[in-house]
Amino acid sequence: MIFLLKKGFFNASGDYLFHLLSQSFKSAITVDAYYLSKYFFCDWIMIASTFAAFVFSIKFGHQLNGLKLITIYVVGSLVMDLISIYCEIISPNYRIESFFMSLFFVFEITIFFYYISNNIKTAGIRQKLKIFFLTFFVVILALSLGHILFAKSLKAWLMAMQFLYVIVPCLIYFIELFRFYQPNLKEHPSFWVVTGILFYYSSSLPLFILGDYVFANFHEYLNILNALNYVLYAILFSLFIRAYLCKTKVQY
Amino acid sequence: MQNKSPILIIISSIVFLILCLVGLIITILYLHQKKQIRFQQEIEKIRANHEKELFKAQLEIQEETLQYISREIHDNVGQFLSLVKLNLNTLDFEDRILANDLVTHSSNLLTRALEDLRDLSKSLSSEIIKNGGLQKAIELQVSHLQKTGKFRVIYDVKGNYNYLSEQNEVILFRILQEAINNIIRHSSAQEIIILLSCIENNIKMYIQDNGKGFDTSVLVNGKNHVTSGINNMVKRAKLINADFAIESNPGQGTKITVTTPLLESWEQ
Repeated sequence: MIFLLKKGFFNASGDYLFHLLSQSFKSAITVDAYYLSKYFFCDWIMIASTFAAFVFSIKFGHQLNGLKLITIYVVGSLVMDLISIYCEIISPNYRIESFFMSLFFVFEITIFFYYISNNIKTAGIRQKLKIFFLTFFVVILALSLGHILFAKSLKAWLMAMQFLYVIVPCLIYFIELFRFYQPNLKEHPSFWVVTGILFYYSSSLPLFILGDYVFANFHEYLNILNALNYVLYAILFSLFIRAYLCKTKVQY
Repeated sequence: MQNKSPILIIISSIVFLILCLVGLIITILYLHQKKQIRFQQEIEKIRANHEKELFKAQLEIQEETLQYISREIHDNVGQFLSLVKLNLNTLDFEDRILANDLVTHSSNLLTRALEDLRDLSKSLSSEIIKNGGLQKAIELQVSHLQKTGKFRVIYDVKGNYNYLSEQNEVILFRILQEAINNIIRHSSAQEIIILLSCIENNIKMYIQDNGKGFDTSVLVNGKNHVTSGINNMVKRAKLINADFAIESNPGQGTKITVTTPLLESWEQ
């Protein structure tokens, strides 16, 4: 406070930012090599693919109206990656990382659910899905309270939520794909995005299930599971990049 | 070796996952392609059936038109020419006054025959549509009806009338002519209302009379002069994808409504 009064607000902010950056830089150049290759560089592959998706979204995103939500997701992922890097490598802080991961989980499910339901052609099903999604926030609130008050494991709930709010809408989308006439499917961005989302969640669900068992019995292989998770994310973003390269201009 | 095994596990898992993803995408695209081919085949079948129906309708309309011409020539022009021939055969130049009367009478009959032929020709010709459009053609038709003195005709146009294609205007006009012919021949009506309305990309033509009406169940059950004319109108409406509706009850007149979408008309 005295520092603020002496230096004035802007000068004080500038000095604090400089201090933060210099500390980060010092930590970065002295970081242990272990942290960089902890996940066999798969996390860096994921970050690279996220960044590539971000570049493609800037270049091609304005041509495809329906991919605006995916652009928002890509930006959010990039921010989350930077936070993770900071919290894991530069200034380890599990609590902050965990907090942001929880927020990102809600953000991710919301974006994906909203995107998939917007691409469902049957108006009745689309309306029902959107109303159904309101239960997501009720469940999140209940889980948060339950976790705070009773310290119960959330894993089973989180798995169920991923299945209900992401995989089921993906399956509805694919059922509709075969009901309605849609020529040249390869040039539909929504096909690539929903395929990526379905693939990621279907493949990561077993990793999620195995996580506790591996942690308890084969702790040394836990990093492999995390590495595979990052690779799945990289594949997801690769499919997003393919979606951005589609020639169709109209999304819905 | 110990260091390499996690990497091997990761690489083999990645390869397996990528193969699964590629397999999933290829399967979806292949099944989708098969479905689209089947869908297109069904559309082609429906289109072919529709074209067959349209062609059949066009042939039937042509047949009806030729029969109408044949009837008109036989009933009107043929009768007049027969009378003229009879007059000329019985002409006696010795009786000058009688001969004069017969010649004058024959001349009048020939004039009426020529007028009938001219009217028939005009009614079949679509020149009036080409030159003045549907509105003008209806106005002329209304004026002919009013000149007969037998009918009180009310004609109105609602909305901003946008022109259909010439073909559609001709067909709508033919439907109107058929309806008016039916009114003249069968309804014993004294008043005819013709309304042309253009609202929300639809053109609606509405023809009503205060004649004796009929039981619309004959349209389903029987084939007679009433059903033949109405079937003709239905077929013509189908040609331009218009909706045709008829309401009638004995003693309560008849209402005919033809609705054609403006957008489809332009696309045609």
